[in-house]
Amino acid sequence: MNRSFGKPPDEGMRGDVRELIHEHIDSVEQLEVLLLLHRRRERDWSAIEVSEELRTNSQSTGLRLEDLVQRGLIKPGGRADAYEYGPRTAALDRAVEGVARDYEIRRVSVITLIFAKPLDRIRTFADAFRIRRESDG
Amino acid sequence: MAESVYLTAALLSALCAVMLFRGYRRNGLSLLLWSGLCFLGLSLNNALLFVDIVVVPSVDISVFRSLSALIGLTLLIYGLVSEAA
Amino acid sequence: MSQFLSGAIMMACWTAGLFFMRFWRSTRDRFFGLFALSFWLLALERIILALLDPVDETRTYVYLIRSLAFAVIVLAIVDKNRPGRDALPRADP
Repeated sequence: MNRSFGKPPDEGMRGDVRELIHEHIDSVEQLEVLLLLHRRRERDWSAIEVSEELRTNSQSTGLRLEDLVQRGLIKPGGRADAYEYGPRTAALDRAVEGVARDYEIRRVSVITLIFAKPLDRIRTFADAFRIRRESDG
Repeated sequence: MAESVYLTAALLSALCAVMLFRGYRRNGLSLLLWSGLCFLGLSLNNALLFVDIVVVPSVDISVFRSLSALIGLTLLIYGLVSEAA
Repeated sequence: MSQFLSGAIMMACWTAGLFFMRFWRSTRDRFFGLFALSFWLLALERIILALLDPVDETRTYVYLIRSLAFAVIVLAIVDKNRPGRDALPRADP
């Protein structure tokens, strides 16, 4: 059960990383899409390619990609309907760098923080009613 | 007429419960568990109402009908207060 | 006993509806508004049952309110899954 007592999940986390998660990341899937584009920034990605890589539903990755563009974290890529990593500011880039590192070394904390806002938990309730054909484990 | 409403409500509630449990398995948010149990309780409540009409029982099961709904709803309120307040 | 249970159920539905109403205000996702409506209809059903004081809730037309409540839930789920609609939650700027 999520509790705010005890050691906070963002202890020791950089401020800008925490900010990025609070402001822009509302699900693990969205984070994984962002980190994929960040990790493989040498190329652009279409929704289908991302969904194959992450093994999720391409319609939902499409929505995630569009959302990330709106947030200024990625930008349209060379090909039509493709996106590539492209944060609007250098500060955002540093923050994504930090999230990527934290996701490697303290993944559970990052995931806990994604759900730390009651608003995100509430949205997760509504999300549960989205019928998606993704293979979740 | 009434029995088809209760049957539909029971099935729909069960469907909602399934979706919520699936979500709970996916990301472990306990609000989904509590609300899933709530819809399970509502489903049981409607199923028992359906049974009550179709199979007229000699035993009055209205207490069990109400209890299943109430327990489910109590769990939902608990989940809402502890997770989303 | 059954009056107590019915009253408790009504209170719980009313409260759940209040929470969903609040969620609607914070998320601007009408899914929650519909859920609030649905649970309040379930609460209304209990109120009417108490007012009519029927012998058995299976013998009245009060189930019509319940069918409306569940129709609203169906509407909420269908609305959430409509393709092309931006179903993603947005952080308020």
